[in-house]
Amino acid sequence: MNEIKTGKEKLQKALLEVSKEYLENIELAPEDSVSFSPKLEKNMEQLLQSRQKPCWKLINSPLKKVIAVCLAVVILIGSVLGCVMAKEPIFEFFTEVYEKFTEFFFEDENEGASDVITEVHTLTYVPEGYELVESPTLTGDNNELYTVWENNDGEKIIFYQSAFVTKTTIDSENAQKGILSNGLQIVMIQKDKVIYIYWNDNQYAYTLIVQDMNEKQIIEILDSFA
Amino acid sequence: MLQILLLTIENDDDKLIFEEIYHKYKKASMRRALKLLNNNKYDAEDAFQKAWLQISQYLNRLESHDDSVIATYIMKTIEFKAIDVANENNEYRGKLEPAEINPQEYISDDLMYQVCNRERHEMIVKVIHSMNEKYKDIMIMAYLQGFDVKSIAEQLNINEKTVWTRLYRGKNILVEELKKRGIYHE
Repeated sequence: MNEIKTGKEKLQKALLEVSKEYLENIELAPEDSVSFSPKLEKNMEQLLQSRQKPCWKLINSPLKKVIAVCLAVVILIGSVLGCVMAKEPIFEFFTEVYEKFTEFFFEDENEGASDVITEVHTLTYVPEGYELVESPTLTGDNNELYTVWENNDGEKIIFYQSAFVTKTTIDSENAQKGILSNGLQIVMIQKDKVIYIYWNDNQYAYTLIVQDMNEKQIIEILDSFA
Repeated sequence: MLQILLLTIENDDDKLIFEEIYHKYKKASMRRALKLLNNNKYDAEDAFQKAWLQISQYLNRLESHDDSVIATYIMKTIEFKAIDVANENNEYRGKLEPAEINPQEYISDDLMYQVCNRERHEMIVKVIHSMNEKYKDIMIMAYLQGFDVKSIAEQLNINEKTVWTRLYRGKNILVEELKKRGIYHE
């Protein structure tokens, strides 16, 4: 084992030296040729700002239309997740792991999908300690709607309803899918302590985002979807 | 198709590091982009922006926080994106298909480490220097920066099979050349 460890270190040391030589010999344009257009500066500033704020806070920013979309990662799960009733605990269904990116589609005809939200869905239950801080709020062209609850620790529950999209791709690495007791077929993705849950009813797409929450609580929230 | 990536929640340290690094390398990376793109400011800004967007997504996956590792990663990312911009209208890139790996080419990491362990540092450096850039870049990304194949493929905008192919060949060159030139089999 030591031989492998020291061999790895030797290889890394050699690669580091090669990298240093690369940097020493790198060719750059003259310093006085450098300028940054206002547009580029603005874009980069936005990139920096987006990394300065946790996602949870962005929902309240002026960029909420854009960020809400990015944050919620609108998903449409039609043909992939047709309706099948089943009564199983959530964890038993979280078994299918997607390799990378997964596309979700409405069914081919997509006749039921709405361009705008005409029927507002909500969650009738959130765990104790959470208070409503954003009532259902429409964004964009009445095609996106979100609701936010928050507890004393600043942890948020975000419920997102979206119309209009016919096909999208999500970063579904390590995604798992399952069926809830109320028949909802969902896809769950966990990023650190943040859990994203997606489903649709072939009319709208829904996203639930929770932070550091156990399965029982998540099931109860999803069961209250109305 | 609407394609949206999940935002990654990162800790405050990650954010600070990114901002600090951006300001540190902002000018140099733009100079590199300008140099590679014949001082075409429009293309350079395009490559610059794409590179930093990618860096923001992958920076916290770097295994080493050594200044040289970070600087190499940034400058190489600028290079890759400059090449992408230069080739944007070139269909040739997408048509390239990697050759199948010959099973005999397969070299395990452990074997490569064993060979390196028995070899002189100068000789390992010399062999890496002699490699084609595309193998050298992948070797640095995989074994110095610590990216996995999937991350490398995403960042270089090539498929994973191509990354595997280059990785196998890079390792193969390293081991075979060390055997030929070095003291391993002496």
